[in-house]
Amino acid sequence: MDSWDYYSTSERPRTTSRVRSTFMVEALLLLACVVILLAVTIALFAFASATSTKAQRMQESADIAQNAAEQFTANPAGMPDILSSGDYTVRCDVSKEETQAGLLYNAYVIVLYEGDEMCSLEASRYVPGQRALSVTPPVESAPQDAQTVPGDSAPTEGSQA
Amino acid sequence: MSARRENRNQRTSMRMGVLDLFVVIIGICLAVLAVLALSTSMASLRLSERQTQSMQHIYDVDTAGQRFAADLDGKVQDVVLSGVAASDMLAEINRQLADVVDDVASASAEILVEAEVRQPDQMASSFSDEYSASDLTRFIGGVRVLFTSDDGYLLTCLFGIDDKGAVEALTWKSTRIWDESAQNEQLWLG
Repeated sequence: MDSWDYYSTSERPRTTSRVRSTFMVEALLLLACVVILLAVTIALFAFASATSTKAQRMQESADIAQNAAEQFTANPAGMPDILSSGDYTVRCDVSKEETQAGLLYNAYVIVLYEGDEMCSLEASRYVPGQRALSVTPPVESAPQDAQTVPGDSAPTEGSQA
Repeated sequence: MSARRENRNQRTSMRMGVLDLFVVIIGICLAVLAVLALSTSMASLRLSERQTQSMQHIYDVDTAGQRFAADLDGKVQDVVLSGVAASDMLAEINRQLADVVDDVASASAEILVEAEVRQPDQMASSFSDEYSASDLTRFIGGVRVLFTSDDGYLLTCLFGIDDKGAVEALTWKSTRIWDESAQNEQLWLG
């Protein structure tokens, strides 16, 4: 048989059908590979997105907790129990302990996001009694007088206690 | 021979076409991007966790410092009220300093507290970059305290004490001890 006979009248329909079926199998295999690949990569991207969101929330909650702790340090007696910052809620449990010469305020700051605890920290602040004790970290650029705590109300509370 | 040739011609093999190659390249790119996104997000999470822990440790040593300030203030007040002369005040505070350290150490178990009484000239030499001797003339002496957490967070405090028993925090410096071995910790997991 000559090679040109391959495409001769009697063989053509069978060969064409085989090529079509082969193409279909190939296309189906390719489609299956694409679907599997997409499933895996979409799952990975979704997990990465969730992890990234969690990391961002954790970082924001750490910043918010630090802000709340600094707010407490600046004015321990005037710290509200609940603070709100965007979607975050800050709970601040302040307790005070009498010392020999003043009051030691302790705060337990918890940052919640939609009811879930994201971050917590403990902070303390000593407020002396009548005498002028400064426990505020000195600011390098500030003049020496600015280092003392402007605790107009705090010593009063200490003396009241 | 002719039959074999005919058979070979009838077999149609699957060959990689342009579309297959395109899909393979897209697949590799997607997989690489997904792995990079995952490693980036994991690194961000780890960084956030470490930042949170670091912040908690800093406030832990700060809390110990505040407690120390409270106890020291109380002790100094006791010494003043007991009628000790100003010249002997520092020696008396030195005797009672161990009680203050024990009290703070018991309240903060993870914090190591080291305290020592400093004469004015020692205070000036220790903190020469911050204070000159003339700045410290109003003090009869001071107490230098180091608070060290297990993770290497360090709070350095210097309290100045004047002859009337007033205590002032002159230095309140929070740092971290450099740990060479910690450099092997992988922050980036990619």
